[in-house]
Amino acid sequence: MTESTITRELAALEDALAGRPVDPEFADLDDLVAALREERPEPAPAFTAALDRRTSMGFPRVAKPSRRRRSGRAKWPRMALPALGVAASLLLAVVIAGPSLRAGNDDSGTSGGGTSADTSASGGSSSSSARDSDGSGGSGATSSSGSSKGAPAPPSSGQSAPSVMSPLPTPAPPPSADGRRRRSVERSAELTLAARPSQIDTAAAAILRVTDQVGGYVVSSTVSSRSGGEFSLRVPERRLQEALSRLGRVGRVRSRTQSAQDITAVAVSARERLTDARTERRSLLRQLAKATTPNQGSSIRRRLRIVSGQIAAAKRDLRRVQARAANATVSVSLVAERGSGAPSDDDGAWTPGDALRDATRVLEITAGVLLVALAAGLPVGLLALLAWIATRRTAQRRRERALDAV
Amino acid sequence: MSVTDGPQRRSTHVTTTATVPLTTTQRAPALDFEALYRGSRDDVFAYVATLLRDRSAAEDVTAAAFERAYRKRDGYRPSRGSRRAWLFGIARNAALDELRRRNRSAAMTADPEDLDTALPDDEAEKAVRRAALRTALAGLAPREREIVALKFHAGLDNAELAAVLGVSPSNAGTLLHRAVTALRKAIDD
Repeated sequence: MTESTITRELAALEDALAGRPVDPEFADLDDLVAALREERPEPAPAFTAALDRRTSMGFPRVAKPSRRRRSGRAKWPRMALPALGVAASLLLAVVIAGPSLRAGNDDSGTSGGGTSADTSASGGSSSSSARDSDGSGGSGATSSSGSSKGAPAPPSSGQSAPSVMSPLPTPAPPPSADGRRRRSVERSAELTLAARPSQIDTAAAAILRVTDQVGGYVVSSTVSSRSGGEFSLRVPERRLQEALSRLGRVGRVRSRTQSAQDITAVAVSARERLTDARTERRSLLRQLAKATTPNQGSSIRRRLRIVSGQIAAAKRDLRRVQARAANATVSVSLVAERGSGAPSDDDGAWTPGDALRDATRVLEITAGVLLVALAAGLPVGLLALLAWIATRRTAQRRRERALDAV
Repeated sequence: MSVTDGPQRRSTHVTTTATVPLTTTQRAPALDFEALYRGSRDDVFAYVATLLRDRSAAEDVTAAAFERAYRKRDGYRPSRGSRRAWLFGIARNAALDELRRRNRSAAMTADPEDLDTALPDDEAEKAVRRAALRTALAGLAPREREIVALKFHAGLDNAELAAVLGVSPSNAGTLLHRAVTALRKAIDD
């Protein structure tokens, strides 16, 4: 059959369907169309009436279980699916991004001059406690943190430092129940603060005031108006964190480094030397009491003088070691920096500028989280889309197969 | 013989008008579902009944198809085809789902006409031709029968036919010609 014949027959069909005259050559097609129309199944009036009613009511849900429900497949509300998808993507993003974010923060904490965004610094960490408690003599620990652009904390949060989070050494644990001696740890910290040149003096005064308020003292200080200064401070070890936190609010923290060195061995050595010398002195005194000759007495007295000197030296050493453990050394460098955050005095005032910086930082973090979520969610969404397309195509193929199987 | 003596003939190109007022949705619908329903109800039934050859199942599938269409009415996109093509696509999926579920072919439940009844010659001839047509339709391959149903019972044009079947319009014409040829051959046999 030629293509033109096919075309003409199709045209004749369309004419017959439209009620137009049909070429006599294709009269049988006209009859066929009429016969097919006569064979058209018509719905029963009862059915159409019932369907009309259901349509007029907007197809109310029937209470009886549908085939799908009978087959055990739960029917999720359509509105819930997108929400579930978004929630799953966000959860996945958090799971994926969480460790990397934490790792990133840890990394930034070890680089001086970085841009750490963390805002908590009070108190010590359990890791540092463990390090202190199980460390043997001579082992030191150092922690440092980068600078921060964070704004000073609100006045109410007296415990929080402006923008640095680092594992801080904690005071040595108390003597354990089995009577082991508490460890002696010497702590030190270095802090670099930035302030506007016009506020160097104010910042320097704030540093001295904080030192005084935490019960410490200034070993040395050098301040130059509008250019900065250096401070060597000694503060009670148990108030070191408080001091650092409050000093951190004096200006913008550029860097903060803390170190801890176990000096238990040194303390024990000094204590043992003192004990030994005292024991020897008691022994010499007993020998002196029993001496029978003048020569014996003079010899023992000479030895007693030497031992007394050793006792005095051992006491000095012990006191020095105890002082090293009781007071921490804090070195503060105050530098002038144009455009730096205004040194907020010790009162921790929270200015509109601080609020603006906080808001900017929050937006940065939010944008970062969204970016990570997008990076994680995009492949997931793509996979979901592919799965959806594959599912639809599979369902359609099965339908078509059902038609072939009839 | 008067024109009322013979068996009652069905009207063609007549669509029953529902007298029950239809509620409209609260918000302006993207699709005039009421008009679509009124204009397509009997066509959808005719198509599904021809495909399934089971009036009872056709009623269920027709109702299910309209319900699906009602719930998906906001998803209709004019750029993808006419409203009727969209509706018949839904009806086709529902019918195929039914076929899949049954996995069998069902004969139409309508009783065959009694050819032994005494009829005038011309009416008897028509009855014979009608029976031959039914037999030929039943003997068609399901896909060919589906095309016949969509074209002659549901009244779709070739573009709508192509959209429902997922083929090009020219391919739809070719399929239609094949189906008609097969039907003519079956009737002749």
